[in-house]
Amino acid sequence: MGADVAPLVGFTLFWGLIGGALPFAVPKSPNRGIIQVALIMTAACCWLFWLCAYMAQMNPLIGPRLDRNHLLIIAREWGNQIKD
Amino acid sequence: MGDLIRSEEMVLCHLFIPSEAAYFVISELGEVGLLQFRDLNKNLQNFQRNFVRDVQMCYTMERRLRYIKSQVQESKIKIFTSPESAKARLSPNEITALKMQIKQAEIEIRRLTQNALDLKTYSLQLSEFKCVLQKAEEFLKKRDEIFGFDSTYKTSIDFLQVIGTDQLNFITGVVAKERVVAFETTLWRMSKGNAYFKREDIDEPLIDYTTGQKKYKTVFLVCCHGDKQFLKLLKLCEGFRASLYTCPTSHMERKRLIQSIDKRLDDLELVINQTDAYRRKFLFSVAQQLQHWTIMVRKIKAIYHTLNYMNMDVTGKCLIGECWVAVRDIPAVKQALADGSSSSISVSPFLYVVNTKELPPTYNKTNKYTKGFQNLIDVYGIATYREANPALYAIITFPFLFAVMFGDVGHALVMIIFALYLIRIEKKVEELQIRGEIFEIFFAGRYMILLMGLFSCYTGFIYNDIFSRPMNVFGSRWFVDFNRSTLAGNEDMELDPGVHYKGTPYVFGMDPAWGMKISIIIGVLHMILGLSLSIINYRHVNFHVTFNSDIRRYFNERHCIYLEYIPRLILLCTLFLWMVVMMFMKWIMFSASNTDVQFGTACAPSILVNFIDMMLVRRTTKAQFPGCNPYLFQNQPEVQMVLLLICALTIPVMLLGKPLYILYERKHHAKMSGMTDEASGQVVTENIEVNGKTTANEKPSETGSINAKDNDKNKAAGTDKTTANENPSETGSINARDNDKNKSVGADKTKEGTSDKKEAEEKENSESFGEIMILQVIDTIEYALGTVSHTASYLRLWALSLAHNELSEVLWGKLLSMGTANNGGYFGGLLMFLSFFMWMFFTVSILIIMEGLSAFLHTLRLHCN
Repeated sequence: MGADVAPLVGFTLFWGLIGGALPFAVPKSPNRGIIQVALIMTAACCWLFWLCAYMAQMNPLIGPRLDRNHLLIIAREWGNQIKD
Repeated sequence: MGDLIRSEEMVLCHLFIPSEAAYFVISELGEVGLLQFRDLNKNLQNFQRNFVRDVQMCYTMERRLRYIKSQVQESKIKIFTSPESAKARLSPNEITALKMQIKQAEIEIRRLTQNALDLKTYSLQLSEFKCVLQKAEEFLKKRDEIFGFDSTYKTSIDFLQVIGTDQLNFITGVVAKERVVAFETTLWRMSKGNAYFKREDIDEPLIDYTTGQKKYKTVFLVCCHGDKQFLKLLKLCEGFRASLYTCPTSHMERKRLIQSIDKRLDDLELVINQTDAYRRKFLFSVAQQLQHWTIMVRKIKAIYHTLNYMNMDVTGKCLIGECWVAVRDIPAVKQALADGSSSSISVSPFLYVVNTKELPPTYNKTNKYTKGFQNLIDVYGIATYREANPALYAIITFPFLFAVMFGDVGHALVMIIFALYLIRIEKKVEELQIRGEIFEIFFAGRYMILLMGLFSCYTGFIYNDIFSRPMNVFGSRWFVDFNRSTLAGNEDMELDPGVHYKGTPYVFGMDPAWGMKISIIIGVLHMILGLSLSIINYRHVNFHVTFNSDIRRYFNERHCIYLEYIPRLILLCTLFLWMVVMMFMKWIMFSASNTDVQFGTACAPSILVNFIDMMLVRRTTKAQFPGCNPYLFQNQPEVQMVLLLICALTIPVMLLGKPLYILYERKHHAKMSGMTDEASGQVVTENIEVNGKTTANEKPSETGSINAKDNDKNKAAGTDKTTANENPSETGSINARDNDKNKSVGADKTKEGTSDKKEAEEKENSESFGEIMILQVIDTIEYALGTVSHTASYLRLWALSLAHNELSEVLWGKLLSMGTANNGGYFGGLLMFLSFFMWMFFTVSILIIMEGLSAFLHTLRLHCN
């Protein structure tokens, strides 16, 4: 797999915390139920969205098609000079 | 407040209130606001109700208040508003006092207004008179100048005196300027040319106080010969609505008159000013009370309307009402009852819970945060009693789906700022009651807009779009590795993932190397999302309706899970979840760095082709390239066949499962209650008497109970039992007409139980088997086709997000870039300013407002699945 472990674990843990642990910490108020559901759903939706974006780019089957100007700019700004 | 999972549990209650305390008790209950009264006097006309006079009085008061309000607003006085609203707990004396107060205020205002009007009209007349006198002077002066007399005074005196004595009558007056020509012509015709007419325009327009408009007027002087002519002349002036003023003949008198008029005008102006000031002061003092009065009157009216819903019992001492209350709120209601009847009342009012088979109303308790979402869901349709409430999930899903279509950090930030602003002025808006249709819509949804903005910020980060520009926060995973000569030779190059890819993807979101969204991937992502959401919906709807303990239909709903829900889930999963699984597999298994050619980039099979072939039960033979596997993994075709078979099996289950079960249950229960013959006989007769379908969703108050009543009478056995039920439940108070009320008042629980059972059973039997079958077929077809169509419709998420991105790119590229790319000195600065303004304007109007609204609309449609 072309996936880096660190972001995968990191984000899963992050959203897992929000969706799994935080609901227990909601103070007792008449709105407790709503807040818990909202937290869980937010965590689920956001994590899923991020995961799909990540996995889609993991093993790219094609690359971007860029015109010459773009390539030159990329080469200059992102640190790999054009060889001759 | 919290429990939005389903609507509140409601019970039907009877309220017994002694007549003296009735008004106070209802006022307290109104303040608490937790009851819904039923109209027990529906068959009475409005004027036949008990409290019709009081209601009439309230309407009169409201009319007066409306008049006062219009006067206050006309004078542009601000109405004093306070956040607290007054209680309408008034004794009858106080109500009369209020009525008097309002009446006095109205009379006073009318009087003052009329006075002011009169004074102003009088002053108008005076000024007109003055103009007449002045112009008359001028006429005569001019005339004298023409004839060249040296002593002007003498001549003018002579002229008019001559006129006065010699049977020549003259009048002076003022007429509207636009009519003067017609006036002159008519005069000419009428007098056959024998009248002398002179006119002069008044330069400044005079205000006509009845209409409030300025008008141009003309002064005229007419001389004619003879009485008859004179009378005709007067009639003519009346017709043209000219005001006539007598002009004195002598010059001295005229001069004196002018002076006195001047003085009178000055005095009059003082008086007018004072009157106006007094009127304003009075209106101001009334305006302080106006809101208070309006609220009180409205509350009083509501109280009397509610009292009209109630019935007087036979003794005349007690009022009886029927209402729905949420079980959770009963203590609060009882407290309100106690409050209302504090003083010297002999009997205290009480609340009595009644058992009933009717379907209670749906009541969702919301606070200011959840209200917007609940309203949105109610647009589609109000959920039935105790059905799972989708609003709970919509709080998050709605903004999330919106965000997927709208993802752009820049626009999201604008939305967040707007929402925060609305929230900040919350209190002020409530107080001032600013109204304006469109503003109200936005204001009501302020928390929703905030959430939408926040989620859009998140998705904007993932799409890597801020005002359509990508960001490079984490370092792109693509790098360039070309020779200068290669670049010189080619216009554009495609980066090969084998060579130029670093190996691990961009950490958060879309890599900035991509200029555009990767459309197919986003589309897939959306479909997965939609799938999961619809599964949640189905699961919850069926789940909660099944295990509902309040309104328990006679046939246990548990069978619904097995016969409806599970087959539906299986259908969904075998087809679409399988497609999703294939997508994930493709992401994981195929890569550029894989050494096995089978799993290299060139060989990745097309999922679409695979899926189509699966549905057509056909083997995929054509691979991407020769030497590649057309499938994702070994044995895929076999796996797909199995899935398809399972899916096909679910269809007959969905079609026939429920009807067969119902049939079986009926036979089973008919046997159990030992009335086989009657049951089978009943089926025939009741089919004929079917009076419309009654399902749990419809309120069975009228049709269902009437049905049951007829069936009761027809039944041979058990008639004694059921009629015995009906008789003792007719307490003296209630109209004995509606049988459903009788059943609901029934005090004895056990008797109630058996009559219930019979009633429910008859309802069930009244649906013929054919009907049930047809319904089931429709349901199944709707569901099966629905899965396909709804899944496909989630593609709109992708389409809209693409459109949004393209639009913002166009705006950036064409407007802002052009403007800022100009490097020329002074002129360039101006151009930059203009182009930024245009860009901001279009961004806000098109992208944020229009796109926002359209994304909102589509999200709503998706939620209506």
